[in-house]
Amino acid sequence: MPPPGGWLGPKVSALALGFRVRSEARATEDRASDWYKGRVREENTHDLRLYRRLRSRDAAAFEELFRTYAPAVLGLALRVLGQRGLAEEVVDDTFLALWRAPEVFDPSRGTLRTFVLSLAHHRAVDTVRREERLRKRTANPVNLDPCEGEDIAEDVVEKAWLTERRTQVREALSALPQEQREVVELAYFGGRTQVEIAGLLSVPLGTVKTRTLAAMRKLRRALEEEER
Amino acid sequence: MTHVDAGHGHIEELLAGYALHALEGEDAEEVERLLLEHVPGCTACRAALDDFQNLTGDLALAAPPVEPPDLMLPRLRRSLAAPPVGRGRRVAVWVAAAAVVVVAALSGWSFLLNGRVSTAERRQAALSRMIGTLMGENGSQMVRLHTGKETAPATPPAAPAPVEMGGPSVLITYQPGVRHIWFFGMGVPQPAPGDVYEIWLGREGLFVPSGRFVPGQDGFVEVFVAADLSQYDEIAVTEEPEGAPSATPSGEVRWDAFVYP
Repeated sequence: MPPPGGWLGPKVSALALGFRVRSEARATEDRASDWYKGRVREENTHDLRLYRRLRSRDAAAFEELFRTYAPAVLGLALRVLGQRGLAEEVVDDTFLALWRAPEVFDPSRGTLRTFVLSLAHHRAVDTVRREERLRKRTANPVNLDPCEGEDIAEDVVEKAWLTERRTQVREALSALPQEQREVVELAYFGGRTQVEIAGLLSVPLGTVKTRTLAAMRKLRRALEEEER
Repeated sequence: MTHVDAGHGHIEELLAGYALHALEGEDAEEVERLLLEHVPGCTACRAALDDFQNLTGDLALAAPPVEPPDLMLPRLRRSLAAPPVGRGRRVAVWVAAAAVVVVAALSGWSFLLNGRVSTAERRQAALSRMIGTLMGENGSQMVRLHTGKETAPATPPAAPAPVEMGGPSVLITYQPGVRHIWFFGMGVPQPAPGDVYEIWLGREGLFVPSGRFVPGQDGFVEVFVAADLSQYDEIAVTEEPEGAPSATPSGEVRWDAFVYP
């Protein structure tokens, strides 16, 4: 039986077979990418174990989840809402929602970490939109500088991972062109809709959409490369 | 990384805005429609949506973490055992996408887009599906929704509630353990101008948005929801403003039912 790629080797075979083999090579790359993604997710056993325990109504798992992610959730909520009381309500709502319906998280679609934080973000933005008076505050772009004492609440294992990821996210945001970073920050941390952002920046809505997509693609690429 | 071809560029643009929770108006309506009708069947769009959703989770880490107050965890711990206060209308949000709710309505949104299906045809098809569900599949169950907000009884009722003659009739059929819920309505009135009906699946006071609809002119409704009702304890329909998808049930509860295992 010939080895994969034929007796002449993959390079010669590719030359001989032309497009079909190039297509197969691309398919192989895609499979490798899928395999890599799968491996990354498999490595996240801590979160998966936590998730399974949550589904079995393990209160200790809830406490572990809280201790791991509450500082990040509260930090995010505070950044979006700018008010401690409302931010703490978002923390309450986020973790209680996970406790009461953990099945809304689908492990095949992402990590528990990003799910928790995305859920918190939605709650924070919903809250800021309800609290119209908070709209009077000025736009407050995120401060990307490390804060003194941050990570104190996280245990050693999570501290290393979350701190590393936080650095990666900040670097990726900082690397964006200013006009792209601006629209993402106004939407994400300012809780603004794209229509509102277009008005704030006096640019067409289409420009906001284009900049947003360009920014999201760059961020996605940068963070995926960091994971590798 | 997911690559989306040029034909999907517009959709990807909407999905990026959706993941950032930054859409409103026509864009919000369009992405809602896409999430119901296109994304579930499109591998590239599903992957792009997942990528963007995970990215928006990561973006939270750009904000400095803040240690929660010492009393927060003990307070939450006490809340775990307590039932939700007043069955509060809280919603687990990660989107309609997290619940992977797919709505294929012959009436409502899809019907508006596909006027080729005649009233008689869609009625016949819907009734066939309802009968098939009830008679042809093991374990199928039917739940009638009550008009207005139902009060949860302490124990499951011994007999189904009497049929209200003359009024709208709203019921669902489902199989426990199967992600199929058929939602049927007959004689359903049109919502107030500028409103639509929204279906919510709830569990212990947490509600997930599960599809919107507007009845046909004849008051007939058939909606398919890709969810396992046995994972929930309540199904409700509210009237919500048309436009941006509701994150929480905010309008009047028009129909409601508790579901018992």
